[in-house]
Parts: sequence; structure tokens; C-alpha cells
Amino acid sequence: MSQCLIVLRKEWLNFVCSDRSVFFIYFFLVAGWGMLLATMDRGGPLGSPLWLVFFSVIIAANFSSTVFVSERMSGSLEILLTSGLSRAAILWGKMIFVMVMTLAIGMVCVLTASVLQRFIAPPEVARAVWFQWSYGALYAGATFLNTASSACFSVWLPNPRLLHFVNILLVGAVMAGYVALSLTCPLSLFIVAIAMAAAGLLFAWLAGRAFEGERIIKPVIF
Amino acid sequence: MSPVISANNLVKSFGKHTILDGCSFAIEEGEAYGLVGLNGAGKTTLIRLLLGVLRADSGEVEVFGENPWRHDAALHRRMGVVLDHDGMWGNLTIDQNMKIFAAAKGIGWNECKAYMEEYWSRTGIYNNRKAVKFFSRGQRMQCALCRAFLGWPALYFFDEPSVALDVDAYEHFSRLVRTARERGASLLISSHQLDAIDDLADRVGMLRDKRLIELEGKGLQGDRLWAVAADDNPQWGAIIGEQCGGTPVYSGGEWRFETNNAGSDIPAIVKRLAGEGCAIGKVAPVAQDFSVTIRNEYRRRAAEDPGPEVTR
Repeated sequence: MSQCLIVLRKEWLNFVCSDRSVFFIYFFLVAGWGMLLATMDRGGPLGSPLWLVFFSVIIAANFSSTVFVSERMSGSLEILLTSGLSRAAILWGKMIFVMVMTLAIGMVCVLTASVLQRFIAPPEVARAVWFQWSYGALYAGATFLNTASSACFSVWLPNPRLLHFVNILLVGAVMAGYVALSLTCPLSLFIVAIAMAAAGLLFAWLAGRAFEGERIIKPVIF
Repeated sequence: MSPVISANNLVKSFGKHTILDGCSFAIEEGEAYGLVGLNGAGKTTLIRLLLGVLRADSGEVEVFGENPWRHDAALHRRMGVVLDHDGMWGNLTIDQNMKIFAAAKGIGWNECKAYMEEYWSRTGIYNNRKAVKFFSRGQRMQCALCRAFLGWPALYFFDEPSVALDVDAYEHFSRLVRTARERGASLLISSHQLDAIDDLADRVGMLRDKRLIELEGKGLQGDRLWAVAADDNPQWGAIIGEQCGGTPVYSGGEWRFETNNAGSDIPAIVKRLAGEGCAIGKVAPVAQDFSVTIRNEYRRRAAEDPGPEVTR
């Protein structure tokens, strides 16, 4: 666990010491998505939980690009692997960082939306998305799946630009299954969240195996 | 006493491309081993096999008696590593980088700080206000070396450590290597800088044709390289060349040449030179540096395999 914390601390420092432009991008992203959530009509086409899944894909894949892919490209991953930390600690430290950051940014979006809604949302808008526990569970499940699959595919894929697409494909497949099943019998979003978490566990296991292999130091093609 | 590193019949391929085929060597405690070879010969692959980031297709490799592929974190804590890139986190300062590595190696921050104060006191580049990404390549390499020597591990892997270093930085690196060796550490240094190999290595292995060939050097050349102190009259060079079959080189007031049969060649050369009126000074074998042996090996290889003919 202490080794995991070392990796977490390293990733946090690397993030907070990033260029200012990174924070501007996240600021506008939070403001934009907060606005979207504030004005969302749950019954309308924009009120779909797909938005949450989409948010999760974008944020998790973005952090994964830095945490998993950039580290491979710069060569520092190889040094980290030989630094005296276990590979499991490196993997889980990185995964926890991506999950925590994705969940935190999601929460900031929700808080921003709650503030904005007081001023701009029309009164007929239904209860906002963040009050639904099932939506929260869906976001968390999607985040875990996205993070684990990013860790796994960052090793498997020779071209990490495909990371976002793979995540969209995976989460899209789960959501498509949910929509298809919903046509025959009503399904709770909790079931989808659990399905995503289960798929996330599978990918976390696969990522663990990928981190133990020699593919992890293969050159990255951009 | 078992060697610190032992590799036996290592084979490593990437797809159909075999990089190492039957590579064997050992490094004893306190020994500095130089690794040379042309670009693409497999030096970095060999180092990665020893570090356990690559797995050998066949053969055995042991570092401190353990198979490095088992990914034992404790094994890596006994190593200092600098690969062909510096591997520093560019967004972070030197102190932030070092804090993380110290924690990974189980070294307290106070101990790390004391080490860093000593390390950077000998160079002028220490700047903890700037992120490492704003440093020059040489400065980043110095940071990487600082990281490698942290805690004075028992084994070091250096892949092209001196390529970006200026004269002062190289001197500093050389001093650190000597200090590490005084503490009983072993080193594997891969480099194209032959002077660095001469300076730092006790033994040298050359990767050639997918195998590691141990080179002779530093006075181990037997009687092969000789020098005759005389003036620069080309006639003396011609006489020596006729006797030995090579082309002698005049340098530093002496004719240098190679012979495979010193027992008969040297008396014959002396006799002929004296007969022609040459004022011979010293006649003695020359202790040869690794760099000379390595260059000779490269030349021999080029002569054997000149490569594809370029057509216009």
C-alpha cells in the first residue's frame, strides 16, 4: 500500500506541476459540462445517462494518456519499473489516481451544475442528474471500466491515440446491451453500473498481466 | 564467491529477428564491465534482460543469484540504473524527482538530502526552482546519474551515460564510479565513447554477430603491439612493414606496429634497422588501451563485411 501511495504522490505532483493550459482546459470543461447538467431535462433527449458515460470516457482517457502513455513515451516508465517499486503498486497507484481524478472532476461538474441551476435552469427541469444514486453508480462504474481498460490497452495498443476510441467502444457496447435489454424488460441503471464494474475487474486483471510482461516497454507509435 | 551477474547462453529474438544468440558472460563483485558494439548490436537489449524488463527466450540469467524476470522489487533497490534516456519526470523539480526515488528505494529524505548536497556541490547546475524539462540534455543526464548513485547501490547499469556530459560532468561521473567501486559495487557500462570505456572498465565485451566476445586490453595484448623509438625516416617504416606484413604508424617519436610473431620479428627488425644505420632507441611492447582493440575489431569487421555496394 505504501508503494501505491508513492506512485499516487508522483502522479499528483506531475499533474499539479503541469502547464497552466491544462488547468484552463479543465476549467472550461467543468464550466461547459456543469452548464449542460444544469440545463438537462431528464425526460428529454439530452437527459440520457449516456452523457455521464461520455464524460467519464473523456476524462479518464485524458488522464490515462498522461499517466500510462506519456510515461512510456518519455522512457520514465522503464526507470520506474526498475526503481524498487512492485509492478502491481505501479499499476494500482496509477489506476487509483486516474479514478480519483475522474470522479473528482465529475463531482466538481455536479457542484458547478448545482450552483448554475439556481440561476439559469428553468423551473420545469426535473430533479438534476446528481441526485440520482443510480447515475452516480453508473459514473463510478464507467470510470472504473475506462481506467482499467486504458491501463490494459495502453500496453496492448501500439498506437495510444486509439485509447479514447477503444473506451468509447467498450462502454458503448455495455450501454447498447442495456438499451436493447430495456426494450424487453425494465432494467435498473445499477445493473449497468455493476456490469461495468465487473468488466473493469476483468480489464484490471488483464492490465496486471500486461504490466508483468515485456510489452510494457515496447516503443509507442504516434 | 558467485558472480554478481551471470548470463549463460542467452537468446533473445523479436519476432523473426534474433538479437542475441548464445550470449554468455559474468561480472564479479567490484568489477566494472564495459559493453561495446555497433548500433543495433543488442547492447540495450542485453541490459534490459539483466534488469528483468525483457525476458530471455532461452538461456539463464542471474543477478545477485536471482532471476531478474521475477520482478523482485527488493532486487531493483540494490541497483542504480541510467538507460539511454534520462527517465526523469519533466514536470517535477530535481528535489521532487529525488524524493520519489528515495521513497521507492526506502531511503529517508534527510539521508537523500545530505547525499544530494554532496552530489551537487561539485557541479553548478543545481536549480530546484525549475522543472527538469527546462534543463539541457546534459543537465538532465546529471540528474539521472544523481538518481542512480542514490543510496550507493551494489550494482549499476549505465547505457550511454557520458554521451551528453561536458568535461566537468564527466569528471564528476568518473569520481562517482570510483567511489562506488571503492564501496565494492559492480558496474556494467555500455558506451560508444571509447575513452570512457578505457577510463572506467576493467574488462570489455563486444557484442558482435549476436554474441559477446571478451576483448583483450590494457596491457593484456601480450606481445602483439610493439614500438621502436627512432626518427621518422619512411625507410624504417618500410623495413618494419616488410618484416611484419602491416603498416607501421609513426607517432610520438616511435614506430608502432603489430606482429603475431614477436619472438622472431623483433630481432630481425632490430638487425635490419641497425644494418641500415638507424639509431634505434627503445624497443618495447606497448600496453594497448581497450579503445585501440575496439577500433581494430570494428575495422576488421568492416573489412570482412563491407556491406552492400552502392550503385549510382
